[in-house]
Amino acid sequence: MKRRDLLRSSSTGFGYLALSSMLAGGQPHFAPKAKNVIFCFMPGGVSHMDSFDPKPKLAELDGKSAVLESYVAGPKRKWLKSPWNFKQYGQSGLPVSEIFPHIAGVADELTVIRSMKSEFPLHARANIFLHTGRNFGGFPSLGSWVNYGLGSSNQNLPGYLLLNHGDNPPGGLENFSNGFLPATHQAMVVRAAGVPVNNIVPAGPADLQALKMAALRSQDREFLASTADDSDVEAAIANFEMAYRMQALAPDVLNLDREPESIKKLYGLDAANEHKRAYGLQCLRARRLVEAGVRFVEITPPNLYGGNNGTWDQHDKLREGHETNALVTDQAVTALIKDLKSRGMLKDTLVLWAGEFGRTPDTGNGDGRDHHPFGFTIWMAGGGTKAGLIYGATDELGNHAVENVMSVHDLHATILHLLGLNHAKLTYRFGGRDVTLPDVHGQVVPALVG
Amino acid sequence: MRILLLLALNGLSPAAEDIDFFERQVRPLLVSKCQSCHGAQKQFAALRLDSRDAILKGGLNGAAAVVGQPEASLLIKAVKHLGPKMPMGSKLADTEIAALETWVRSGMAWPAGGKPAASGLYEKLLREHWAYQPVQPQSIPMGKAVNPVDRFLDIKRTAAGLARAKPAEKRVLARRAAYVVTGLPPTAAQLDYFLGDKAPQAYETYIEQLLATPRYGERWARHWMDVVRYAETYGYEWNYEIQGAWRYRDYLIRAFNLDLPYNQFVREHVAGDLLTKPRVIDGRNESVLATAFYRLGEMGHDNCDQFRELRTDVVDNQIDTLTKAFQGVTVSCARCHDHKIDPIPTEDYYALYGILNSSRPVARTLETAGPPTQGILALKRAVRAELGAAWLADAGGVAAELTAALAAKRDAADAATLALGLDPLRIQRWRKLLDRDKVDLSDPLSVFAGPIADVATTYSKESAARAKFNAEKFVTAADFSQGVPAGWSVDGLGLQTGLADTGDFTIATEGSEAVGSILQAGLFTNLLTDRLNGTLRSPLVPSDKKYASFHLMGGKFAARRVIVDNCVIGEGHELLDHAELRWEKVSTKDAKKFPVYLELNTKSDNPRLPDRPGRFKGVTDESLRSPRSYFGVTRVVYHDEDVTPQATLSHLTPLLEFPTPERFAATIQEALRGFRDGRASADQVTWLDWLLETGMLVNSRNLTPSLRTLTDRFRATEVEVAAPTVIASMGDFDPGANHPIFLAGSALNPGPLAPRHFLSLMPKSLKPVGLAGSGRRELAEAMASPDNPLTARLMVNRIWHYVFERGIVASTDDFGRNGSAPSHPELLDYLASHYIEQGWSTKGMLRLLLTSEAFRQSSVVDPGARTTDPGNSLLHHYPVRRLEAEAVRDTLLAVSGRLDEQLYGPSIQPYRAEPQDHRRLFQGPLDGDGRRSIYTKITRMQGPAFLEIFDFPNPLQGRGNRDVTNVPPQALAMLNDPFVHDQAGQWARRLVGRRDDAIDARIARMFLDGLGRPATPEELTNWHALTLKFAQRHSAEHLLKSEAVWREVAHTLFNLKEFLYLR
Repeated sequence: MKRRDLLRSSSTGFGYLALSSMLAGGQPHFAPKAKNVIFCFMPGGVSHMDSFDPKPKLAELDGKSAVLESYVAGPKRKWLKSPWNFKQYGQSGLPVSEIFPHIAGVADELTVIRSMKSEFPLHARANIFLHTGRNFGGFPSLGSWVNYGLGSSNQNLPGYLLLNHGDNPPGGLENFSNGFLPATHQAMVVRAAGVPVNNIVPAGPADLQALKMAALRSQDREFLASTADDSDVEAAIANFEMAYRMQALAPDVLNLDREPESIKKLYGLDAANEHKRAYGLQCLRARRLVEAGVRFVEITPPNLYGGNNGTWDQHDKLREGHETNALVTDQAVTALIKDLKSRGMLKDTLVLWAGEFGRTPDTGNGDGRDHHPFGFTIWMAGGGTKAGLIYGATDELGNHAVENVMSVHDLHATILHLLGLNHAKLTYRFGGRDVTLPDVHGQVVPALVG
Repeated sequence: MRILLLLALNGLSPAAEDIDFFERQVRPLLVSKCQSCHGAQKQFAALRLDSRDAILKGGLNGAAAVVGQPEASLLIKAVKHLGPKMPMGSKLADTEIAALETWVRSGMAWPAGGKPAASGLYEKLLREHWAYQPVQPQSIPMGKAVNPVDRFLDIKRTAAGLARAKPAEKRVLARRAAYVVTGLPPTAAQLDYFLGDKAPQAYETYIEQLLATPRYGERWARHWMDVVRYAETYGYEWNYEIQGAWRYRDYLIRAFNLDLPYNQFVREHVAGDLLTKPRVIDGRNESVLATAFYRLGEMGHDNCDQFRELRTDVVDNQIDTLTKAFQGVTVSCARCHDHKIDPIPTEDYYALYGILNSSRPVARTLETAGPPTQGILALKRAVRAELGAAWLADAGGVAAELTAALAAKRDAADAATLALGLDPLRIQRWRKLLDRDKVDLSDPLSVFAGPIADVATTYSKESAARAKFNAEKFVTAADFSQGVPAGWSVDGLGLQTGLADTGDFTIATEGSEAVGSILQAGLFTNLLTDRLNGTLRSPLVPSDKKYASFHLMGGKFAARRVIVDNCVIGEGHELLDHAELRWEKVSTKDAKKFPVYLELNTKSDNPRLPDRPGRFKGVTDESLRSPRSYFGVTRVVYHDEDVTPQATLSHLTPLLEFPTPERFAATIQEALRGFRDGRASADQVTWLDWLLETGMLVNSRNLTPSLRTLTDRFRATEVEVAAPTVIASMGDFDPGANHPIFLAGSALNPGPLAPRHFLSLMPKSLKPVGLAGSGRRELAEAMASPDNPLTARLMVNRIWHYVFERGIVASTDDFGRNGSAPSHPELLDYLASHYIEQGWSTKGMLRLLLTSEAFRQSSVVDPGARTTDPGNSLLHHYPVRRLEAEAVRDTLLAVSGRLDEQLYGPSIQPYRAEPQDHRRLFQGPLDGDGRRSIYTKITRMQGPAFLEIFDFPNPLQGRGNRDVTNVPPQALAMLNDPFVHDQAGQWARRLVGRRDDAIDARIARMFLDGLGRPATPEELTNWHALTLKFAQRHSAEHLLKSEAVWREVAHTLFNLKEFLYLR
């Protein structure tokens, strides 16, 4: 098997190469609601009962000995009330914790799912599960599947970009891998600080590079002829041209100089906190990239807490950790929704805000919560979702999802559905099987679709 | 079986779609939502929902379902919350309920357990699918071609009306063959020799030269590393190191260079640890090294009692790798259900699971023999004699000293008189010891604490009480005083010579002390030196005991570990840090549910070291570098209470009749004589240990000049002892155990046991029954057998794939029905039989393929042939190929002159844009020290970035067939990557050092070195002009000496497609 994954080139005269496998079949199965996705990944596990799923019962039980059926069950556990107050916002009356004052302001744009259920209480597994529907690496990530299904609409940029801060959550790059899908569908990393993309900055002055490119063009054409116009060689020549152009285009898309001050301010680029600025920068870049036609952009926050385990992993110091993480991300995520909306882009851009699991309603040490996959909250906005909806519920302690339980596979199926893809038909043959993203599981949840 | 019968009786034969619907929508629901209470383990309301039969039969409330009538089915009522509300906790989603209804309405399709519903399908496949038929010997077809390979190819190609392409030019062929065989361009010497060789056999000679270079083994080892998902760390969250993984890579290089027969190669991989006559190279067991391949997969560090899949996924990956690598069948597809396409029932999967799970993933020492012992033992004897005599001399005054000290303690009138002429310091020390409060009765001085008359009674009572306590509360698991009891096993050079007699001792290897410890009879890794390694392993511990206690000592990062469900990097380990024997207890409660065994390791044998940051204080890569580490153990007991055995008082017996200072002193002197003469009793060792601990024996190597000399000589000798090498391997220590079939693949739903056996699709002769041990040894023979229909075919096809870019069977890892059919089945069988006949010689197979005209033809395709056979399955031309990742990087090094041809050794960390030390993603040099790419460290969480750009595979699953992508990041890398520029600079530095007298001469040289051919006159003109432009841009005065200019020229040449593509 040899896959010739080519990228379209329109300016070099290699036109017929557009019939590449990458763009072939890049048609939705039915009319899509959304065209692009921005995934604000919140690794480590945001506490649902401290963000969007208030549990007054915990205030009653606070400090009392907890009996929790879960993997952390232990002798000295106690119920822990939320240290934060909640208020209801918007017409939907969505309760939002005081740590997210900005998101509260766009409550009516959100589709909040309070009955998410994952299967793995460990970071690496749960992260990979959330991204690939499998608990071990080697499978394609959601962003890769989306690109495989729909193709890219920008011929000079990859279709799946990961905007990070130089550090990846547990599971590493496996979370963002193309797995067995063609390598064109893997995430290209765009770092917040320093050089954003590997090898994107020309290694020498432009005129020297132009000299080299001229020499290569003529010499490569000779070589191409000597191979009787081998299609691989031809594609490689086209790729050099595209790479040459990417050097200019990618920095241009990522360059925020032409953004007005008001927009920069909206995203918090004037903030005193450097991490907040860095996260705001990535959110604004995400909008620009989607605008330029990039299909799937994922943003991870700076890893400030939780050591190696994702920044929201507050087994202790819940108050400090969650407040800081919220401070860093709240404004920029909200700005993204507002900005997309004002440009008319929100209707076909799905914003997904999710972590790999939630946190326990009880505590082992008095000031933190542990991993909790049995019921937690995520939200979506735009992209054809039903705005202002609160879907599903956990029990009165925030322990188990009990109403409209939504699995990670259901989430995947629903996202694909919004993009006009049938999750059971979006297949790739590997290891002797037609593999799909949600495997044999997963159902579209029509209630979430607007 | 029961289900099959039922279906047969009912005449039911569910349609494939219904089965599919069941498997996709219904079975997962039943497994995840129902069977934890209504399954094999629990049957609430006497109901099971794990078979169609059971559902129809129902429980206390009657039948759970009525076929075709969801409205009358209790199961449906319950999930709709009409009546009993099920499942407990949360209602099913509407879509899930609908799925159950549909299933009941449409007849409750359920595949028959173990056998496909459409019975006879597997039998039909076994009869008909080509790959399961025996290899048929083929006669070579008639024809003009000399090479049999061409005769076979010619038939089909000629039939399609196509001719072979013209022979390739000599230079093109030389370059092509060199890359295929060595992964590098030919050296100037090889190329010149070949071009100058006018003999008719010049090409054959050239191929021989290539096969004879060690570069061949490096190239082909790397191919195999893809197949076995080679990596050197376990990935997951902390990226623990896989012990000695790189030695497995060296094994492969040696195996290919030695042309190890492939059947032996297979045997060693599957069961190299079980061979009665392993290959030994340089004193190391070579065969056992191959088994490391099992261990190269991903593995998590969390506790497997909590997270079952941590273990089941490891075994799954082993089954997947083993069966894909050697048999080309996708057995792991049968983890959750019978294979839908190939005749592989779920039983086969769990039969192999049982085999692999009956072997423990352990560390093994490669050295077959320890260091010479005579010198060290002679020195130990001399030290013992010298030290014993010195100590005896010192102990002469004990009676008088103790009498004086006791008098002083009593404030007796004669205290001062009694002290006359004695060493006041020693009296002082005795006083201090006598003044301790809360001394255990086992302390010899305790006899002077109470009224003399009661001593005998007190001690005999206490002694009896302790004996009773020890007898009642503990059962002996092992007593190591006579050696290693049955069921226990040891590994490591330290334990090869580790059986200590009572009174044996260790000599301190640093500081001013003379001895380390004086020992009870038992097993000790450090009897010769603590530079040797050791592992002690228990049998599976009994499931009905809550604790195990070791009487042990250890230090320098040695550890005691509890291994649950074979999760060898689980959290259950603690470091040892005491040079005296004492009791330590571990919990073995997990043995109730899982196989559990205990291990003691010196540090090199512990797969959790280096541990993650923060797990243990002071454990760093630096602190672990020295090989020194040790442990010793005399006994292990099992028990139920949270206590440990008590010290007995037998050593005090000599004192009890007359508890006087004189008797006390006499006892000590007798113990010292016992030590000096090498006949100390256990009680005497207790005395000696006590004396050392209290400082009443002077533990100094400066006691006598002779002792100083002897210990100097000892230290000089022991420090030369080489540290043993340890690798991650496999070992059979337990009786083999059949494994339950996990229903729908879930470890929470164990079903019936699957007897251990080889794939049922194999011929009968390869399926021995009644396996005694794990069965791995028999599995190895079945896989290495010439009668195996898959083994030889698979390997010759892999070789073909690497030579011609596409296999005769294009799906190199899947010979099942989902794979591709062979383009030339007769040729494949000819090659397979030939391979076996020629002693499974891989070099021999390469000779055959490389000398074929098919290999030697040009890559220029005829337009007609391109239309007729665009995929080139008839091989009407040689395919144009992009260099693989390693070849790109290695060629850059070779051309720049930076290539370091050193073979073997620890890997070099890759250059990383984002090193993360806490995850063991350490920074490496930009040019990888000039070593070939095969020596780059493969860390699972973050691969080598430069190689990955060119499709270096992710090591999660084995694959013998890399992607060949063609994407812009490859161009960006060649244009801008610092490594490429670094090598351009390297080449430029070398070039400006040359004495070329003209630009053209230098460009000509660069073409020869970089592209393997001379430049044409037109090229010389163009590149001359280009060079002048670079010179102008850099304002270079002495053009031929300007590194900047030649760096630009070199970089341009590196970016030629001709540099990256092979014709």
